[in-house]
Order: sequence, then structure tokens, then C-alpha cells
Amino acid sequence: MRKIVAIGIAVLGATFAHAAAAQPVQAPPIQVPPAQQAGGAQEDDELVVDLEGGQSAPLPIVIPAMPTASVTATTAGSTDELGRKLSSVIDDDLRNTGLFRTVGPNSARPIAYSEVNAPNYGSWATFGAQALVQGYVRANSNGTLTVGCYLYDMSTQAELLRQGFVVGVGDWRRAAHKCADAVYSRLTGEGPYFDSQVVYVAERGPKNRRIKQLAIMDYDGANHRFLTNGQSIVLTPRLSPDQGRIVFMSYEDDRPAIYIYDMKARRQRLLVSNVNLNFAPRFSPDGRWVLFSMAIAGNTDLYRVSASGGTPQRLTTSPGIDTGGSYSPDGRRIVFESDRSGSQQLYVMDADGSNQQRISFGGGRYATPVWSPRGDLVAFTRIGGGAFRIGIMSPGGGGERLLTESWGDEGPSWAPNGRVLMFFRAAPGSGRPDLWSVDLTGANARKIPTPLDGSDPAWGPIRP
Amino acid sequence: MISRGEVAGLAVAGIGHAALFALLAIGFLSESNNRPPPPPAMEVSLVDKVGLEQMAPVVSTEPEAAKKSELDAPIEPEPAPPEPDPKPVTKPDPPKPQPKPDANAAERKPERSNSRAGGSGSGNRSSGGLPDYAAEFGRGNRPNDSRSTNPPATMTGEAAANIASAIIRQVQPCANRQVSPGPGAERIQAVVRLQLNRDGSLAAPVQIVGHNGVDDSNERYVRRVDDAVKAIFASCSPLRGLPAELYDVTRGWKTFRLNYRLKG
Repeated sequence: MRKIVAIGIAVLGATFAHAAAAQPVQAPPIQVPPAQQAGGAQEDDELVVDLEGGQSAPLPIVIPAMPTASVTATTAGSTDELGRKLSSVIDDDLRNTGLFRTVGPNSARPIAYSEVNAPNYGSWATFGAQALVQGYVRANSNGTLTVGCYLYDMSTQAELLRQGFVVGVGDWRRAAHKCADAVYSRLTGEGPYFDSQVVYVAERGPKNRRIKQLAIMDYDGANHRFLTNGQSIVLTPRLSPDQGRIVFMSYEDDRPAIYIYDMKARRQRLLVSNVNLNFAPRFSPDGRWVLFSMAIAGNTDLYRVSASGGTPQRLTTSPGIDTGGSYSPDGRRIVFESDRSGSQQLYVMDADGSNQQRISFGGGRYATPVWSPRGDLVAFTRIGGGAFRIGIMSPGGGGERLLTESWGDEGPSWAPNGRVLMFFRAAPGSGRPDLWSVDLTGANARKIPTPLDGSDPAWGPIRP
Repeated sequence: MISRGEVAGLAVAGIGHAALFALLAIGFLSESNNRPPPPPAMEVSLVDKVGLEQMAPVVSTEPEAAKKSELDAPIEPEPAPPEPDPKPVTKPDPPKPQPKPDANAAERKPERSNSRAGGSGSGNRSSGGLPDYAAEFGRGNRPNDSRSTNPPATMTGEAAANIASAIIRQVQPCANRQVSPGPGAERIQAVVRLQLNRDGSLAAPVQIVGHNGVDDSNERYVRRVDDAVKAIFASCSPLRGLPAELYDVTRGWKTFRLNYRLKG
């Protein structure tokens, strides 16, 4: 009897169990994606998996000191000392972008010369690095240095980059910048910018008797030197595309005029000679022309003149002040500021002055526009609410964004890769200016070290 | 009248019965004292109709990685060796059409095994120390196991979704480590073809077959997105726990397409 009861329960249980088995617990549904544009023609015959993942964070990278095969004395120090210095410069370059979390030569163990092209990946695993920069330095018999630069991917253990640079001993920093540029470009997709120079106005002295000199330095403040002695006030220096000349405004003989300084000859000459006020010069992308503003009888217009001199050609004719012209990288268009509408706003026109269109419509005023080397953006100073800020917008006028939050930021200049901007910031209270840089995202605002105060930076192109 | 002899006989008989009674009583009592306690009541388990059927031993289908003893040693032929690497690809683009999986071959393979028809209730066992991906794949589809005991397998929509889920689960940690090179990179989708061996390892280098979402503003990041997807599969492979029956079938995981996008 008892057995019969048990079987009866078992049958009922089996019924429920069977019913439950018909409704198996299923994994959360995964959407099988539809056919994709670039997926080929076999979507129906192929398993497709969609994956998304990543982070916006500095990329961890290890940069041990560069070894040397044989220690050799040079005018810049022995080659083993240079190996450490080279790696330190690469470390600084990459870390200061804000895009890398570096483990530099002070923290990474030294590597053997034989390890340069045979990395010991396992030994770097503790750093959690995703990339590894190694290299070597060698002194050549002709007084030059050879610097080898290698980049490795820690995940795939693949060599991503291998480059060598031969430089004069005095240019060892350039070799480091070149290596860092190659690494930066390979790992970010951006163009290089470390091996570049900046001209700017170095300032000192009391407010009412300010001395302003023309100065040039590496992008990071190294190799600084003055180009003028400060007897005349200089303003708005701009490097030529070939980096052989600087065009600027000077109050030589107490009369404002536009000059060109020849870097090789270390001599300046007057570019535009007339009785009018000439200012805000800038080279065209091919270096053949200089765009500038000329004030005649209270009306300021944009002109261009051959870089070798000659008669200026007028580009704008509207009443008011048209100034701050900057060419697009292809030389076909010009962005400039004008108060023709009643306040300073940004305009774009063709290089011959035709087809002028206003592109800024926000509150406040807009000044000092500069076209990006990439051509996709215009940087500017926006003035409003008692503050000067750096902003960007598309050449068509959309997508305006302010990159800085301080009250005295102005005069933006693009890095050669169009990813970073340099500008000058007036200190609250004293008003003393310093040079700063900021990433295109608005992050990583950094002060650039200069021996004196600094204003009006102009970032030159990448050096050959 | 009862004779004297009869009285004596009755008395002897009475004494004898009394003695017998006493002996029996003593024996009974001593037996009851030494008797082991009664066994606990039998538990009645409710068995389903599968349990009521034949309980023949089932061939172990645990993957080798999960084996605990020699008792689980494989009795089937060794798995096929990894397929040879393809010839170096000199031109990554355009994507070449992949040969369609040989449906006939796919259907032939299971026939070589001693399959047990039906197999009801045998497909959802845990695969040892591995995550129980097998439970996701439904009946008869065992992780990375070449010894199928099932009829010719076909890739259902549910199985495909579960395989995709298993793949994503394993590579997601490596994907999350990838660093976005800049604004706009998250709009780029790398379309990748992956070829796997049966053990889940890469049979060929990750092949980038195309991109979506590329424009002038983010084109410079394409190479880094490609680097990222290569790093993901270099760090998070071999893939474990995928159903062997669905390896070399139409839409199987022998060759599959992955659409990868960086998270901004």
C-alpha cells in the first residue's frame, strides 16, 4: 500500500518535473546584431558577436633608461648618462600630454643593451603597462649620436615601432623628442608635436615700463633664447612654415610696423613701410604671403603682402575694424574678427576676400581666431562677463566649446598636430602673463616654464 | 479417579511447560534488549520518468581541463589538431569571402561518434571547474568537446546568442582595459574575423576586415582601435567552454565575426 502511494506521488512529481523541463532556464537574451555595413556578404552564414569596451584613461607605459653598448664621453655627457636623459625627456613628453601614465627611468629597472630588441615582457608585468619604450644610444666617430627607438605592445608582444635618429651631440634632446613623437603618434593616432619650437614675447619690468623681447624655445621650454634685446617693444610674433623667419610687429623708432626676422642671418627687416598703423601679421601656409591689418583713417581692413615685400593687396572693405586674419591650412580661406555688426565677431571668407560669412553668434565678443592645422576647427578668445577664455568651434560656426575657465586667457596658438593649444594667462591681481597649454578636450591645462613672463605664443610646425 | 502415576505425569508436564515458558520468556527479553535500533524510515524520492527508464552509464563528456582522475580519461579519438595557420595576408582589405562551412562535413562528424539518441536529461551537467556554459547551450551541446553524443547539431538563434554571450563574458575584462586614443574613437566600429581552433585558441591572427563609423574627425584613431581588438584577443584567449558540436557548423564558432567598439 505504501509503495503504491509512493509511485502515485512519483507520477505526479514526474509530471511536474516534465513540465518544468519544458521551460528551461535560459540565459539573458543577447541580441544577435543585424547585418553590418562593413561585414561582408555572408552575414547569414556567420556567427556575429558585438563587443564594446574601453576607457578614457592615461595609457600605462614603461620607459626604462636607454643603454649604450660602450660608454663614451661626449660634450653632452657620457653615453650612459645620455641614455638616462633621453629616456627622461621621452618620459616628460608623454606624461605631460595627460594621455599616458608613465613609469620612467627613475622607476623602471635598467635594461641590458641586448634587451633593447628582445624585451623581457614578463619583467614589466608588475607595472600593468600596455606599452614599452626601449632604445639605445651610441656615440659615432664623426661626433654624432645614434639613438634607437623601439615601441612594443605588451599584450600582443609585438614590435609596433622601430626608428633610429642621428643627431649632433648638442641636439640630443631633439632625438628624444623625435622618439617620443613617434611613440605618441603610434599610440594615439595624433600627429607629432614634441619636436617643435615656440616663439613668444618675453616680458619683464614694471607695468608702465614693460620690456618685451622676442624669444624662441623648444615646445617644453628647453633651449630658450632671446632674439631681440628689448630696446623696442615687440608684439604678435609668428613663425614661417619653413621656420626660417619670424614676422612680428615692432615699435622700432617708436613707430609700429611689421618686420621679418631672418633666423639664419639673425637680422630683421621692415616688411611694410608706410605711414599707417600695421599690425597682426601672419604667414600664409605656403610662406609666400603675409596677412596683416592696416588702419587708414579710422577704418581697419585686412591686407596681404608678399613675404619678400611689395605693395599690399586689400582683402576687406567693410566699415569698422577687420583684423586677426588666419589662413586655413590649404590657404583657400581666411578666418578673421570684425566689429562690423557692432561687436567683435568671427567671420570666414575666401582668400581673395570674397564670400564673407559670420560664424560666431554667442554672447560676448570673439577675438584672435586661429585656424587649426587640421583644418577642422577654429580657436579663439571669447570675451564676456569680464573674463577672457579660450574656445573652439568649427569653421562653419557650429560646435562651440570653451576649453579654459580662467578669467584672463587669450591668444591661442595650435600645436602642429592640432590636438593641443598654447595661450597666455594673466595672473589675477598682478596681471603678469604666463604661457599655458591645454588639450583639445579642455583637460590637462599646464603652465609652460619660461625664464620671464610670457605672452603671445606662436607654435611652429614640426621640425624636419 | 486419577491414578497416582497420572498425577505425577501431569505434574511433570506442568513443570516442563512452565520451564519452557520461562526459557522462552528470558530468551525473548534478552533478544529484544540486544536488537539494533530499527533503521530510519526509507526516504521516498520523487523520480521523473527519465529516472524510471534505463539508467545505462553515460560516456563522460567532461572537457579535459575539468577532469579530476584517470577514470574520466577520454575514450574517443584525440581531437583533431589545430588547423594550420593561413598564409600570411599581405592585403588585409578588402575582406575575402570566407568559404562556407561544409554543411555535409558538419553533418557527417557526429555520425562517427556513438551517439545516444535523445539524451534527455544528459545535457545540462556542469563542466567541472569551468563556468557552466553548457547549461546555456541547451541539450547535448557540450563545451569544447569533440566527442559529441548527439545528432547532427545545428546553430539555433538561441545557441548563437548564448555563444556570443560566452565569448563576450570572457573577453570583456580585456576589452575594458583598452584605452581610447581620443574623442570620436568611440564611433569607430572595427569589423573583425576570428578563426579559432577547437580548443578555443586563435587559429590565425585577428583579421580586420572593415570599419564603420569612420569620418574625417576620427580617421586617425582607426589604427589604435585595430590595435585594441588585437590586444583583447591576445590577452583573453583561448576561449573556453564553447560547445564543440557547434564548432564547425553553419554559423559555428570556428570562424566568426566580431564587431568591436571602444567605449568612450
